[in-house]
Amino acid sequence: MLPEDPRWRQLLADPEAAATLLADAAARAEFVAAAAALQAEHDDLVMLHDSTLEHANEIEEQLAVKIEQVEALVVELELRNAFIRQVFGRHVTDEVVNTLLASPEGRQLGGERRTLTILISDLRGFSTLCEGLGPEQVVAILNIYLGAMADVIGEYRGSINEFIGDAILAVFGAPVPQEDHPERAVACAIAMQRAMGRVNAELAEHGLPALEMGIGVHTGEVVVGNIGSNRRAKYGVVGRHVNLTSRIESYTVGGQVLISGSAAEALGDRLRTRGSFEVRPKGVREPITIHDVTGVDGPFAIHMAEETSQWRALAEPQRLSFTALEGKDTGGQENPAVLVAYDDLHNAELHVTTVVPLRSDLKLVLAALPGVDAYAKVVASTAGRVVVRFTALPRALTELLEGLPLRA
Amino acid sequence: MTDTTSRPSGSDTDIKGPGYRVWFDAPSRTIHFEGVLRLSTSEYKPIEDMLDRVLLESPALGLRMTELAFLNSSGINMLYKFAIAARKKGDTEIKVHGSSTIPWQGKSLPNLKKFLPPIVIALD
Repeated sequence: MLPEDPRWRQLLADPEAAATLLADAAARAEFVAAAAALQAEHDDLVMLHDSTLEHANEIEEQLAVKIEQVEALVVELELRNAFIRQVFGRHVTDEVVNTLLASPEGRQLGGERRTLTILISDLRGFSTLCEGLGPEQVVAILNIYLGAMADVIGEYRGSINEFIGDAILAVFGAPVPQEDHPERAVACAIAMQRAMGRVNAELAEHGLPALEMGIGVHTGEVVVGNIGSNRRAKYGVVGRHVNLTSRIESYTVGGQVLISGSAAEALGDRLRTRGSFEVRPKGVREPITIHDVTGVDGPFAIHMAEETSQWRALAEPQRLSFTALEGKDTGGQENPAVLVAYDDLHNAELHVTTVVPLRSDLKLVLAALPGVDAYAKVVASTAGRVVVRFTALPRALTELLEGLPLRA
Repeated sequence: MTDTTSRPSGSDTDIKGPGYRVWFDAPSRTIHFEGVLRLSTSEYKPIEDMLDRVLLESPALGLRMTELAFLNSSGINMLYKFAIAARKKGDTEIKVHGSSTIPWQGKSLPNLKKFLPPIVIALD
Protein backbone atom coordinates (compact mmCIF):
# COMPACT_ATOMS: atom_id res chain seq x y z
CA MET A 1 0.00 0.00 0.00
CA LEU A 2 1.30 3.41 -0.97
CA PRO A 3 1.32 5.34 2.33
CA GLU A 4 2.94 2.46 4.27
CA ASP A 5 6.10 2.33 2.14
CA PRO A 6 8.64 4.92 3.47
CA ARG A 7 9.87 5.41 -0.12
CA TRP A 8 6.52 6.81 -1.20
CA ARG A 9 6.42 9.22 1.74
CA GLN A 10 9.82 10.50 0.74
CA LEU A 11 8.63 10.74 -2.86
CA LEU A 12 5.59 12.86 -1.93
CA ALA A 13 7.65 15.16 0.32
CA ASP A 14 10.59 15.79 -2.01
CA PRO A 15 10.15 16.30 -5.81
CA GLU A 16 13.95 15.87 -6.37
CA ALA A 17 13.93 12.47 -4.66
CA ALA A 18 10.81 11.51 -6.70
CA ALA A 19 12.64 12.14 -9.97
CA THR A 20 15.52 9.94 -8.84
CA LEU A 21 13.27 7.15 -7.59
CA LEU A 22 10.90 7.08 -10.57
CA ALA A 23 13.86 6.90 -12.97
CA ASP A 24 13.91 3.25 -12.00
CA ALA A 25 11.40 1.33 -14.23
CA ALA A 26 10.51 -1.33 -11.63
CA ALA A 27 9.90 1.28 -8.96
CA ARG A 28 7.82 3.30 -11.45
CA ALA A 29 5.60 0.30 -12.24
CA GLU A 30 5.18 -0.37 -8.55
CA PHE A 31 4.18 3.23 -7.93
CA VAL A 32 1.62 3.27 -10.72
CA ALA A 33 0.06 0.06 -9.37
CA ALA A 34 -0.09 1.48 -5.86
CA ALA A 35 -1.63 4.71 -7.12
CA ALA A 36 -4.26 2.72 -9.05
CA ALA A 37 -5.11 0.67 -5.93
CA LEU A 38 -5.40 3.89 -3.97
CA GLN A 39 -7.67 5.38 -6.61
CA ALA A 40 -9.89 2.27 -6.51
CA GLU A 41 -10.12 2.45 -2.72
CA HIS A 42 -10.89 6.14 -2.95
CA ASP A 43 -13.69 5.43 -5.42
CA ASP A 44 -15.09 2.76 -3.08
CA LEU A 45 -14.99 5.14 -0.12
CA VAL A 46 -16.73 7.91 -2.06
CA MET A 47 -19.41 5.42 -3.13
CA LEU A 48 -19.65 4.10 0.43
CA HIS A 49 -20.02 7.62 1.72
CA ASP A 50 -22.66 8.60 -0.84
CA SER A 51 -24.65 5.36 -0.48
CA THR A 52 -24.60 5.53 3.30
CA LEU A 53 -25.73 9.13 3.14
CA GLU A 54 -28.51 8.14 0.74
CA HIS A 55 -29.66 5.52 3.25
CA ALA A 56 -29.49 8.05 6.08
CA ASN A 57 -31.54 10.51 4.02
CA GLU A 58 -34.15 7.85 3.35
CA ILE A 59 -34.39 7.02 7.04
CA GLU A 60 -34.55 10.74 7.95
CA GLU A 61 -37.28 11.24 5.37
CA GLN A 62 -39.35 8.52 7.03
CA LEU A 63 -38.59 10.02 10.42
CA ALA A 64 -39.88 13.41 9.25
CA VAL A 65 -43.09 11.79 7.99
CA LYS A 66 -43.51 9.97 11.30
CA ILE A 67 -42.95 13.18 13.26
CA GLU A 68 -45.66 14.87 11.21
CA GLN A 69 -47.99 11.95 11.87
CA VAL A 70 -47.26 12.03 15.61
CA GLU A 71 -47.83 15.79 15.70
CA ALA A 72 -51.15 15.38 13.91
CA LEU A 73 -52.11 12.65 16.38
CA VAL A 74 -51.16 14.86 19.33
CA VAL A 75 -53.38 17.64 17.99
CA GLU A 76 -56.23 15.18 17.48
CA LEU A 77 -55.72 13.70 20.94
CA GLU A 78 -55.76 17.15 22.53
CA LEU A 79 -58.99 17.95 20.72
CA ARG A 80 -60.52 14.69 21.89
CA ASN A 81 -59.35 15.22 25.48
CA ALA A 82 -60.72 18.74 25.48
CA PHE A 83 -64.02 17.45 24.14
CA ILE A 84 -64.20 14.63 26.70
CA ARG A 85 -63.34 17.05 29.50
CA GLN A 86 -65.95 19.48 28.26
CA VAL A 87 -68.69 16.85 28.08
CA PHE A 88 -67.85 14.73 31.12
CA GLY A 89 -65.49 16.86 33.16
CA ARG A 90 -68.28 18.49 35.11
CA HIS A 91 -69.97 15.22 35.84
CA VAL A 92 -67.08 13.03 36.93
CA THR A 93 -64.86 14.47 39.63
CA ASP A 94 -61.08 14.38 39.26
CA GLU A 95 -60.96 12.17 42.34
CA VAL A 96 -63.02 9.48 40.64
CA VAL A 97 -60.91 9.60 37.50
CA ASN A 98 -57.63 9.58 39.42
CA THR A 99 -58.72 6.78 41.75
CA LEU A 100 -59.86 4.65 38.85
CA LEU A 101 -56.75 5.29 36.77
CA ALA A 102 -54.28 4.97 39.65
CA SER A 103 -55.06 1.35 40.52
CA PRO A 104 -55.10 -1.41 37.92
CA GLU A 105 -57.99 -2.94 39.88
CA GLY A 106 -59.85 0.33 39.29
CA ARG A 107 -60.51 -0.75 35.75
CA GLN A 108 -61.66 -4.23 36.67
CA LEU A 109 -65.25 -5.21 37.18
CA GLY A 110 -66.36 -6.02 40.70
CA GLY A 111 -67.50 -4.28 43.83
CA GLU A 112 -67.40 -4.02 47.58
CA ARG A 113 -69.88 -3.31 50.35
CA ARG A 114 -69.56 0.11 51.86
CA THR A 115 -71.60 2.50 53.97
CA LEU A 116 -72.10 5.67 51.99
CA THR A 117 -74.41 8.64 51.87
CA ILE A 118 -76.60 8.83 48.81
CA LEU A 119 -78.10 12.05 47.48
CA ILE A 120 -80.90 12.09 44.94
CA SER A 121 -82.33 15.30 43.55
CA ASP A 122 -85.23 15.67 41.18
CA LEU A 123 -87.07 18.56 39.58
CA ARG A 124 -90.68 19.10 40.52
CA GLY A 125 -93.08 19.02 37.61
CA PHE A 126 -90.35 18.97 35.00
CA SER A 127 -92.30 16.69 32.64
CA THR A 128 -95.28 19.09 32.71
CA LEU A 129 -92.94 22.02 32.19
CA CYS A 130 -91.29 20.31 29.20
CA GLU A 131 -94.58 19.80 27.39
CA GLY A 132 -94.73 23.39 26.23
CA LEU A 133 -91.04 23.63 25.28
CA GLY A 134 -88.93 22.69 22.28
CA PRO A 135 -86.17 20.08 22.63
CA GLU A 136 -83.41 22.74 22.42
CA GLN A 137 -85.00 24.63 25.30
CA VAL A 138 -85.31 21.44 27.39
CA VAL A 139 -81.63 20.65 26.81
CA ALA A 140 -80.66 24.29 27.52
CA ILE A 141 -82.56 24.18 30.85
CA LEU A 142 -81.00 20.85 31.83
CA ASN A 143 -77.49 22.01 30.93
CA ILE A 144 -77.78 25.16 33.03
CA TYR A 145 -79.36 23.26 35.92
CA LEU A 146 -77.19 20.11 35.86
CA GLY A 147 -74.03 22.15 35.31
CA ALA A 148 -74.70 24.30 38.38
CA MET A 149 -75.60 21.27 40.52
CA ALA A 150 -72.52 19.35 39.36
CA ASP A 151 -70.34 22.29 40.44
CA VAL A 152 -71.89 22.29 43.91
CA ILE A 153 -71.56 18.51 44.27
CA GLY A 154 -67.92 18.79 43.18
CA GLU A 155 -67.28 21.45 45.84
CA TYR A 156 -68.50 19.04 48.52
CA ARG A 157 -66.40 16.20 47.02
CA GLY A 158 -69.41 14.14 46.10
CA SER A 159 -69.25 12.00 43.01
CA ILE A 160 -72.08 12.09 40.57
CA ASN A 161 -73.07 8.57 39.78
CA GLU A 162 -75.53 9.43 37.08
CA PHE A 163 -77.98 11.87 35.63
CA ILE A 164 -81.34 10.25 35.07
CA GLY A 165 -83.13 12.82 32.98
CA ASP A 166 -83.53 15.73 35.37
CA ALA A 167 -82.63 13.66 38.43
CA ILE A 168 -79.12 13.43 39.90
CA LEU A 169 -77.75 10.46 41.83
CA ALA A 170 -74.60 11.39 43.76
CA VAL A 171 -72.68 9.49 46.42
CA PHE A 172 -70.43 10.67 49.23
CA GLY A 173 -67.75 8.40 50.71
CA ALA A 174 -66.77 6.62 47.48
CA PRO A 175 -64.62 6.00 45.58
CA VAL A 176 -62.45 8.03 47.94
CA PRO A 177 -63.45 7.18 51.54
CA GLN A 178 -64.70 10.14 53.59
CA GLU A 179 -65.28 9.96 57.35
CA ASP A 180 -67.78 12.82 57.20
CA HIS A 181 -69.83 11.69 54.21
CA PRO A 182 -73.31 12.17 55.82
CA GLU A 183 -72.46 15.74 56.81
CA ARG A 184 -70.98 16.56 53.41
CA ALA A 185 -74.06 15.18 51.65
CA VAL A 186 -76.60 17.09 53.75
CA ALA A 187 -74.61 20.34 53.54
CA CYS A 188 -74.30 19.77 49.78
CA ALA A 189 -78.06 19.30 49.48
CA ILE A 190 -78.66 22.64 51.20
CA ALA A 191 -76.03 24.31 48.99
CA MET A 192 -77.77 22.85 45.95
CA GLN A 193 -81.09 24.33 47.05
CA ARG A 194 -79.42 27.67 47.63
CA ALA A 195 -77.85 27.50 44.16
CA MET A 196 -81.32 27.22 42.60
CA GLY A 197 -81.74 31.00 42.96
CA ARG A 198 -78.78 31.52 40.61
CA VAL A 199 -80.02 28.78 38.26
CA ASN A 200 -83.46 30.36 37.99
CA ALA A 201 -81.97 33.82 37.46
CA GLU A 202 -79.88 32.41 34.58
CA LEU A 203 -82.91 30.60 33.14
CA ALA A 204 -84.93 33.82 33.31
CA GLU A 205 -82.16 35.63 31.39
CA HIS A 206 -82.63 33.12 28.58
CA GLY A 207 -86.41 33.46 28.75
CA LEU A 208 -86.73 29.99 30.25
CA PRO A 209 -89.12 28.98 33.05
CA ALA A 210 -88.04 28.61 36.69
CA LEU A 211 -87.35 25.22 38.27
CA GLU A 212 -88.07 23.70 41.67
CA MET A 213 -86.05 20.85 43.07
CA GLY A 214 -86.49 18.34 45.88
CA ILE A 215 -83.60 16.41 47.45
CA GLY A 216 -83.51 13.17 49.44
CA VAL A 217 -80.42 12.11 51.43
CA HIS A 218 -79.87 8.74 53.08
CA THR A 219 -76.95 6.87 54.66
CA GLY A 220 -76.78 3.12 54.20
CA GLU A 221 -74.77 0.14 53.05
CA VAL A 222 -74.52 -0.30 49.31
CA VAL A 223 -72.40 -2.18 46.82
CA VAL A 224 -69.99 0.11 44.96
CA GLY A 225 -67.70 -0.75 42.11
CA ASN A 226 -67.38 -1.10 38.38
CA ILE A 227 -70.68 -2.47 37.24
CA GLY A 228 -71.52 -3.58 33.73
CA SER A 229 -69.78 -5.47 30.99
CA ASN A 230 -66.22 -5.18 29.74
CA ARG A 231 -67.54 -3.18 26.82
CA ARG A 232 -69.50 -0.73 28.91
CA ALA A 233 -68.88 -0.44 32.62
CA LYS A 234 -69.28 2.40 35.04
CA TYR A 235 -68.36 3.10 38.61
CA GLY A 236 -71.71 2.91 40.32
CA VAL A 237 -73.73 2.07 43.41
CA VAL A 238 -76.53 -0.43 43.80
CA GLY A 239 -78.68 -1.70 46.63
CA ARG A 240 -82.00 -1.19 48.36
CA HIS A 241 -80.69 1.93 50.11
CA VAL A 242 -80.38 3.61 46.73
CA ASN A 243 -84.06 2.88 46.09
CA LEU A 244 -84.95 4.07 49.58
CA THR A 245 -83.19 7.40 48.92
CA SER A 246 -85.32 7.78 45.83
CA ARG A 247 -88.46 7.14 47.92
CA ILE A 248 -87.39 9.75 50.47
CA GLU A 249 -86.87 12.22 47.65
CA SER A 250 -90.39 11.53 46.39
CA TYR A 251 -91.84 13.02 49.62
CA THR A 252 -90.26 16.41 48.95
CA VAL A 253 -91.83 19.52 47.57
CA GLY A 254 -89.81 22.12 45.70
CA GLY A 255 -87.00 23.66 47.74
CA GLN A 256 -87.03 20.92 50.36
CA VAL A 257 -84.26 18.63 51.66
CA LEU A 258 -85.52 15.48 53.36
CA ILE A 259 -83.09 13.10 55.03
CA SER A 260 -83.43 9.66 56.62
CA GLY A 261 -83.01 8.83 60.30
CA SER A 262 -79.61 7.23 59.64
CA ALA A 263 -78.27 10.39 57.98
CA ALA A 264 -79.79 12.56 60.74
CA GLU A 265 -78.19 10.38 63.43
CA ALA A 266 -74.75 10.80 61.85
CA LEU A 267 -75.09 14.59 62.04
CA GLY A 268 -76.37 14.54 65.64
CA ASP A 269 -76.85 17.97 67.20
CA ARG A 270 -75.33 19.70 64.20
CA LEU A 271 -78.54 19.11 62.26
CA ARG A 272 -81.25 21.81 62.11
CA THR A 273 -84.74 20.75 61.05
CA ARG A 274 -88.32 21.93 60.85
CA GLY A 275 -89.27 18.59 62.38
CA SER A 276 -89.69 15.02 61.34
CA PHE A 277 -92.46 12.68 60.22
CA GLU A 278 -92.98 8.99 59.64
CA VAL A 279 -93.67 7.50 56.25
CA ARG A 280 -94.26 4.00 54.95
CA PRO A 281 -92.71 3.86 51.53
CA LYS A 282 -93.84 1.16 49.16
CA GLY A 283 -91.75 -1.98 49.44
CA VAL A 284 -90.35 -1.01 52.85
CA ARG A 285 -91.57 -3.08 55.81
CA GLU A 286 -90.97 -0.72 58.75
CA PRO A 287 -92.09 2.90 58.70
CA ILE A 288 -89.15 5.27 58.42
CA THR A 289 -88.58 8.69 59.96
CA ILE A 290 -87.83 11.56 57.66
CA HIS A 291 -86.34 14.88 58.76
CA ASP A 292 -87.13 18.17 57.04
CA VAL A 293 -83.72 19.89 57.02
CA THR A 294 -83.22 23.64 57.41
CA GLY A 295 -79.50 23.74 58.13
CA VAL A 296 -76.24 22.20 59.27
CA ASP A 297 -73.94 23.59 61.98
CA GLY A 298 -70.25 22.72 62.51
CA PRO A 299 -67.48 22.58 59.93
CA PHE A 300 -69.90 22.47 56.98
CA ALA A 301 -72.23 25.12 58.43
CA ILE A 302 -74.88 26.15 55.91
CA HIS A 303 -78.56 27.04 56.18
CA MET A 304 -81.51 27.27 53.85
CA ALA A 305 -82.33 30.68 52.49
CA GLU A 306 -85.34 32.18 54.27
CA GLU A 307 -88.57 31.74 52.36
CA THR A 308 -91.08 34.52 52.91
CA SER A 309 -94.16 35.14 50.89
CA GLN A 310 -97.43 36.96 51.15
CA TRP A 311 -100.72 35.07 50.88
CA ARG A 312 -103.13 36.44 48.30
CA ALA A 313 -106.79 35.77 49.02
CA LEU A 314 -109.00 35.56 45.94
CA ALA A 315 -112.06 37.80 45.75
CA GLU A 316 -113.77 34.96 43.89
CA PRO A 317 -112.62 31.54 45.19
CA GLN A 318 -112.10 29.04 42.36
CA ARG A 319 -113.96 25.76 42.23
CA LEU A 320 -111.87 22.71 41.42
CA SER A 321 -111.87 18.94 41.68
CA PHE A 322 -108.96 16.90 42.97
CA THR A 323 -107.94 13.27 42.93
CA ALA A 324 -105.52 11.66 45.37
CA LEU A 325 -102.72 9.86 43.52
CA GLU A 326 -101.35 6.46 44.39
CA GLY A 327 -97.81 6.32 43.11
CA LYS A 328 -97.93 8.16 39.82
CA ASP A 329 -101.09 6.52 38.49
CA THR A 330 -104.26 8.51 38.80
CA GLY A 331 -107.06 6.26 39.91
CA GLY A 332 -108.68 7.76 42.96
CA GLN A 333 -112.06 9.35 43.36
CA GLU A 334 -112.74 12.95 42.33
CA ASN A 335 -113.42 15.37 45.21
CA PRO A 336 -114.69 18.93 45.06
CA ALA A 337 -112.72 21.77 46.63
CA VAL A 338 -112.35 25.53 46.46
CA LEU A 339 -109.06 27.40 46.00
CA VAL A 340 -109.25 30.45 48.26
CA ALA A 341 -105.66 31.79 48.38
CA TYR A 342 -102.17 31.32 46.90
CA ASP A 343 -98.66 32.69 47.30
CA ASP A 344 -95.47 33.22 45.29
CA LEU A 345 -93.95 29.98 46.56
CA HIS A 346 -96.54 27.90 44.73
CA ASN A 347 -98.61 27.21 47.83
CA ALA A 348 -102.40 27.27 47.70
CA GLU A 349 -105.06 27.07 50.36
CA LEU A 350 -108.03 24.84 49.57
CA HIS A 351 -111.34 24.37 51.32
CA VAL A 352 -112.27 20.72 51.21
CA THR A 353 -115.16 18.55 52.34
CA THR A 354 -113.16 15.38 53.07
CA VAL A 355 -110.11 14.59 55.18
CA VAL A 356 -106.98 14.72 53.03
CA PRO A 357 -103.92 13.08 54.60
CA LEU A 358 -100.72 15.08 54.96
CA ARG A 359 -98.23 14.58 52.13
CA SER A 360 -100.85 13.18 49.78
CA ASP A 361 -100.11 13.82 46.13
CA LEU A 362 -103.09 15.39 44.39
CA LYS A 363 -104.10 16.04 40.82
CA LEU A 364 -106.12 19.26 40.56
CA VAL A 365 -108.34 20.53 37.76
CA LEU A 366 -109.90 23.98 38.06
CA ALA A 367 -113.48 24.35 36.83
CA ALA A 368 -112.32 27.46 34.94
CA LEU A 369 -109.56 25.47 33.18
CA PRO A 370 -111.00 22.08 32.19
CA GLY A 371 -108.36 19.73 30.78
CA VAL A 372 -105.45 21.52 32.49
CA ASP A 373 -103.92 19.19 35.11
CA ALA A 374 -101.95 20.60 38.02
CA TYR A 375 -100.18 18.50 40.63
CA ALA A 376 -99.62 19.34 44.28
CA LYS A 377 -98.59 17.84 47.59
CA VAL A 378 -100.46 18.42 50.83
CA VAL A 379 -98.14 20.28 53.23
CA ALA A 380 -100.71 21.14 55.93
CA SER A 381 -104.06 19.56 56.67
CA THR A 382 -106.81 20.43 59.15
CA ALA A 383 -110.54 19.70 59.10
CA GLY A 384 -112.07 21.38 56.06
CA ARG A 385 -108.83 23.10 55.04
CA VAL A 386 -105.57 22.03 53.43
CA VAL A 387 -102.48 23.83 52.18
CA VAL A 388 -100.95 22.32 49.08
CA ARG A 389 -97.67 23.04 47.38
CA PHE A 390 -97.81 22.74 43.61
CA THR A 391 -95.32 20.24 42.23
CA ALA A 392 -96.41 20.87 38.66
CA LEU A 393 -98.01 24.18 37.90
CA PRO A 394 -99.16 24.69 34.29
CA ARG A 395 -98.55 28.16 32.92
CA ALA A 396 -102.27 28.56 32.11
CA LEU A 397 -103.10 28.15 35.80
CA THR A 398 -100.47 30.68 36.92
CA GLU A 399 -101.77 33.18 34.38
CA LEU A 400 -105.38 32.59 35.46
CA LEU A 401 -104.54 33.09 39.16
CA GLU A 402 -102.51 36.23 38.51
CA GLY A 403 -105.40 37.70 36.49
CA LEU A 404 -107.99 37.18 39.22
CA PRO A 405 -109.04 40.06 41.51
CA LEU A 406 -107.86 39.78 45.09
CA ARG A 407 -109.90 40.32 48.21
CA ALA A 408 -109.33 43.75 49.64
CA MET B 1 -25.50 2.62 22.58
CA THR B 2 -23.46 2.20 25.71
CA ASP B 3 -26.30 0.59 27.60
CA THR B 4 -25.20 -2.89 28.67
CA THR B 5 -28.66 -4.31 27.95
CA SER B 6 -28.06 -3.69 24.27
CA ARG B 7 -25.01 -5.94 24.25
CA PRO B 8 -25.58 -8.87 21.96
CA SER B 9 -25.85 -12.31 23.44
CA GLY B 10 -25.98 -15.86 22.12
CA SER B 11 -23.41 -17.76 20.05
CA ASP B 12 -21.21 -16.34 17.29
CA THR B 13 -23.71 -17.60 14.67
CA ASP B 14 -26.77 -16.37 16.56
CA ILE B 15 -26.45 -12.81 17.78
CA LYS B 16 -29.34 -11.43 19.81
CA GLY B 17 -29.95 -8.06 21.42
CA PRO B 18 -32.94 -6.01 22.51
CA GLY B 19 -35.23 -5.86 19.50
CA TYR B 20 -33.02 -7.70 17.05
CA ARG B 21 -31.57 -11.06 16.10
CA VAL B 22 -29.00 -11.94 13.43
CA TRP B 23 -28.48 -15.65 12.95
CA PHE B 24 -26.96 -18.06 10.46
CA ASP B 25 -28.98 -20.98 9.19
CA ALA B 26 -26.29 -23.44 8.09
CA PRO B 27 -28.43 -25.84 5.98
CA SER B 28 -29.74 -23.01 3.76
CA ARG B 29 -26.53 -20.96 4.16
CA THR B 30 -28.63 -17.93 4.95
CA ILE B 31 -28.05 -15.18 7.47
CA HIS B 32 -31.33 -13.86 8.84
CA PHE B 33 -31.55 -10.22 9.90
CA GLU B 34 -34.58 -9.57 12.13
CA GLY B 35 -36.07 -6.68 14.09
CA VAL B 36 -34.59 -3.23 14.54
CA LEU B 37 -30.83 -2.77 14.15
CA ARG B 38 -29.64 0.55 15.54
CA LEU B 39 -26.21 -0.25 16.91
CA SER B 40 -23.08 1.90 16.87
CA THR B 41 -20.28 1.11 14.39
CA SER B 42 -18.23 -0.82 16.98
CA GLU B 43 -21.28 -2.75 18.15
CA TYR B 44 -21.71 -4.17 14.66
CA LYS B 45 -18.34 -5.96 14.98
CA PRO B 46 -19.79 -9.38 15.98
CA ILE B 47 -22.16 -9.29 13.00
CA GLU B 48 -19.37 -8.15 10.70
CA ASP B 49 -17.21 -11.05 11.94
CA MET B 50 -19.99 -13.54 11.36
CA LEU B 51 -20.48 -12.32 7.78
CA ASP B 52 -16.73 -12.61 7.05
CA ARG B 53 -16.46 -16.04 8.64
CA VAL B 54 -19.46 -17.47 6.85
CA LEU B 55 -18.31 -16.17 3.47
CA LEU B 56 -14.87 -17.67 4.11
CA GLU B 57 -16.43 -21.14 4.50
CA SER B 58 -18.21 -21.04 1.15
CA PRO B 59 -18.87 -18.46 -1.61
CA ALA B 60 -22.65 -19.11 -1.63
CA LEU B 61 -24.58 -17.04 0.87
CA GLY B 62 -28.09 -15.72 1.33
CA LEU B 63 -28.91 -12.59 3.34
CA ARG B 64 -32.57 -12.48 4.39
CA MET B 65 -33.74 -8.95 5.34
CA THR B 66 -37.49 -9.40 4.98
CA GLU B 67 -37.92 -9.28 8.77
CA LEU B 68 -35.56 -6.35 9.27
CA ALA B 69 -37.77 -3.33 9.90
CA PHE B 70 -35.01 -0.83 10.55
CA LEU B 71 -31.28 -0.55 9.84
CA ASN B 72 -29.34 2.56 10.82
CA SER B 73 -26.53 4.19 8.83
CA SER B 74 -23.78 2.29 10.65
CA GLY B 75 -25.60 -0.92 9.75
CA ILE B 76 -25.92 -0.20 6.05
CA ASN B 77 -22.29 1.00 6.06
CA MET B 78 -21.22 -2.37 7.46
CA LEU B 79 -23.23 -4.20 4.75
CA TYR B 80 -21.71 -2.09 1.97
CA LYS B 81 -18.21 -2.70 3.36
CA PHE B 82 -18.98 -6.41 3.41
CA ALA B 83 -19.99 -6.15 -0.26
CA ILE B 84 -16.69 -4.41 -1.08
CA ALA B 85 -14.76 -7.16 0.72
CA ALA B 86 -16.72 -9.82 -1.17
CA ARG B 87 -15.98 -8.11 -4.48
CA LYS B 88 -12.26 -8.07 -3.62
CA LYS B 89 -12.42 -11.71 -2.64
CA GLY B 90 -14.12 -12.52 -5.96
CA ASP B 91 -16.02 -15.67 -6.82
CA THR B 92 -19.05 -15.17 -4.55
CA GLU B 93 -22.71 -16.02 -5.03
CA ILE B 94 -24.55 -13.72 -2.67
CA LYS B 95 -28.27 -13.26 -2.82
CA VAL B 96 -30.17 -10.69 -0.75
CA HIS B 97 -33.87 -11.15 0.01
CA GLY B 98 -35.61 -7.93 0.94
CA SER B 99 -39.09 -6.55 1.20
CA SER B 100 -40.37 -3.61 -0.83
CA THR B 101 -42.96 -2.93 1.88
CA ILE B 102 -40.10 -1.75 4.13
CA PRO B 103 -39.37 1.65 2.55
CA TRP B 104 -35.60 1.91 3.13
CA GLN B 105 -34.96 -1.56 1.66
CA GLY B 106 -36.28 -0.60 -1.78
CA LYS B 107 -33.72 2.22 -1.95
CA SER B 108 -30.70 0.99 -0.02
CA LEU B 109 -30.45 -2.71 -0.88
CA PRO B 110 -30.17 -2.20 -4.69
CA ASN B 111 -27.13 0.04 -3.96
CA LEU B 112 -25.27 -3.13 -2.91
CA LYS B 113 -24.84 -3.77 -6.64
CA LYS B 114 -22.60 -0.72 -6.93
CA PHE B 115 -20.14 -2.41 -4.58
CA LEU B 116 -20.67 -5.97 -5.72
CA PRO B 117 -22.09 -6.14 -9.26
CA PRO B 118 -22.79 -9.92 -9.28
CA ILE B 119 -24.92 -9.72 -6.11
CA VAL B 120 -28.57 -10.72 -6.63
CA ILE B 121 -31.22 -8.49 -4.99
CA ALA B 122 -34.69 -9.98 -4.67
CA LEU B 123 -37.42 -7.74 -3.26
CA ASP B 124 -40.80 -9.29 -2.39
